[in-house]
Amino acid sequence: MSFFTKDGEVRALDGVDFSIESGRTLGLVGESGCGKSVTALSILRLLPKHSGRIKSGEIWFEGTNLAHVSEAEMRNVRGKRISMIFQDPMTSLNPVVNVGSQITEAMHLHEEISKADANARAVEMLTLAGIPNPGMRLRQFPHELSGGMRQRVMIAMALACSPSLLLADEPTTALDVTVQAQILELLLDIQNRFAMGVLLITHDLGVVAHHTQEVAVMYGGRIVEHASTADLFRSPRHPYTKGLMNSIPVQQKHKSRISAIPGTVPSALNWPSGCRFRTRCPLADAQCAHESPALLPVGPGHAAACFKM
Amino acid sequence: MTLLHIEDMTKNFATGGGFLSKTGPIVQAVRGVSLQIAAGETLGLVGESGCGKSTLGRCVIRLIQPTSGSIRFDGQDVTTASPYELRQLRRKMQIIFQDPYSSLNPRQTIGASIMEGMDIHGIHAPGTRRDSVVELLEKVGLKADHFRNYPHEFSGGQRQRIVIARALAVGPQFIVADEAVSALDVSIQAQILNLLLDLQVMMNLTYLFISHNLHVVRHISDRVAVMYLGRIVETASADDIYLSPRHPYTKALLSSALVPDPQKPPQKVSVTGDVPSPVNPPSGCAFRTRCSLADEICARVDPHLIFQGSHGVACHHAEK
Repeated sequence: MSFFTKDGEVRALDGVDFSIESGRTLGLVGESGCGKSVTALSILRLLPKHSGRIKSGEIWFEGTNLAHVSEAEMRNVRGKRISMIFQDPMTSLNPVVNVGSQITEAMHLHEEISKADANARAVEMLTLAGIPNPGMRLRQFPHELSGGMRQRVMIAMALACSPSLLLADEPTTALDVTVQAQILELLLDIQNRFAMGVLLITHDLGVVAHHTQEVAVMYGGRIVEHASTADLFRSPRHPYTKGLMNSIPVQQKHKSRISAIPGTVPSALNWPSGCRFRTRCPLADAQCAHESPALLPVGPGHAAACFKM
Repeated sequence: MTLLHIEDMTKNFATGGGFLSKTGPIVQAVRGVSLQIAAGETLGLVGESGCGKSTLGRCVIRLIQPTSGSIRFDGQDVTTASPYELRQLRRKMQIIFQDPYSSLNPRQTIGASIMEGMDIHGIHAPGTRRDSVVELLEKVGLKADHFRNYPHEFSGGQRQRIVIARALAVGPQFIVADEAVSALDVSIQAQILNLLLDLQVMMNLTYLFISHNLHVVRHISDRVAVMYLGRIVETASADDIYLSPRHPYTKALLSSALVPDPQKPPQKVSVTGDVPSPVNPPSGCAFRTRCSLADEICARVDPHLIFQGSHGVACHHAEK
């Protein structure tokens, strides 16, 4: 997938490959600019019309290749079969429309449903999302709700048409920790109830460790490691994954230096040749500059893209 | 030696109001906070959004005027300092903000940004200031030839290094770091934390480190104070807070922070709901609306910080 800007082509995603089973959660982790949000936007074909383009590849969803369906068919998928929740509930909700209308909008778009039935289902969804007094909340506007409540409304909206896949892009990053815990708990509960597949995009390894079954680590628009969550944390193989885990000051000795990854993420306009992590990697040598490592199996259900493992 | 001494500090903000209209309700951002920070020490201040931690940080260096209470820095009263005295004080106290994008002037080279403080305070002879800036740039991990570059040419982590160099330019003893690493990616966050730790040793700095990130606060702080709705609810050494928390809010915060290890599952969430509005905090203990231990005394009496040694807790039921 590429963006075409005035400074040239930005190859935001490069050969990204993964699958999500119903009822399971795949975590997509990486730092800003690694392409994790663009991945979700590509699945829903929400890329900017003129500058963003999926150049090659396939996106199979329930037997259809989403990369090739018409825009009209795509509209039937969005919000109905696949929903998305974004990081910032304040900018993702319409400030001048009440909560009830925003939740029922998707139902009216996708289904023949009476106003009364839609409202009844909206109340049901809000109750499911853990919002007390849902009947009253329907008539309220986003500014009348707290951050945690807004994110719950976003979740109710996303679930309105019982989708089979949920793309959650940093759903709790803007929330306080005590509220984050409640929202993650809620997502898990809803997922189990509807056997929904979830793509959980986050930069927080703590969230990944406890709320996913499988993880793909992204760096520079590529997946560099893919494993079951238990495997990834028990034996990370890629130097970037290891570096990321060591950067979190949890196990380190108090006030000691953290073994940080040196340098900064290179620009997508100008990725390094070969392995994109080599400019920050302690193991890099000549081979890493010439060849691009493929994502190869290193154990059962565990793959990594590195020459130096 | 105590460098900073905050005594019963309160800060209220009036909301609404304006020309000819009545002022709205009062937000009690900080309510009767007392704290001490020793020279060379790092005090971590944790809490969720809206708890008053940033307001407290700003009052300490008097970017905003506290409503009541006293703040003494190195024996001098900050709250009543004259404009001249305040300028002298600001040489000794600096602040680093969360967002390195909005805290640098986009039209000023970073060399000029860093030099500005030296010019204002007349630090170093004018001819040697440039060399001092270069020295600072190198100290924070940048290069001498970055002097002429503009902020947009740097990444977020580099900008935070620039902001740190600028704070250090006037030779402060005390730095308020207000969510200084919160906007950064984890790999960059680790670099900046290392830099702050190195500088503390090198220049004998004292930090008030404000953050919502419990892992980061634990790592960098000697002592930690936990804030909830304008009050300190618990304060102790970093290890005591994390290994034997006594306030139910501290316990809830710690159990909500997810450790990146699937083998260590989080405890079941012990708080419900959101933080109440600081415009209208609950009567008695502010945490009682979300607390599983709350009973009638909590609704009537606002608990004070009670100390056992250096570990202070403000809770009627701390022993349960």
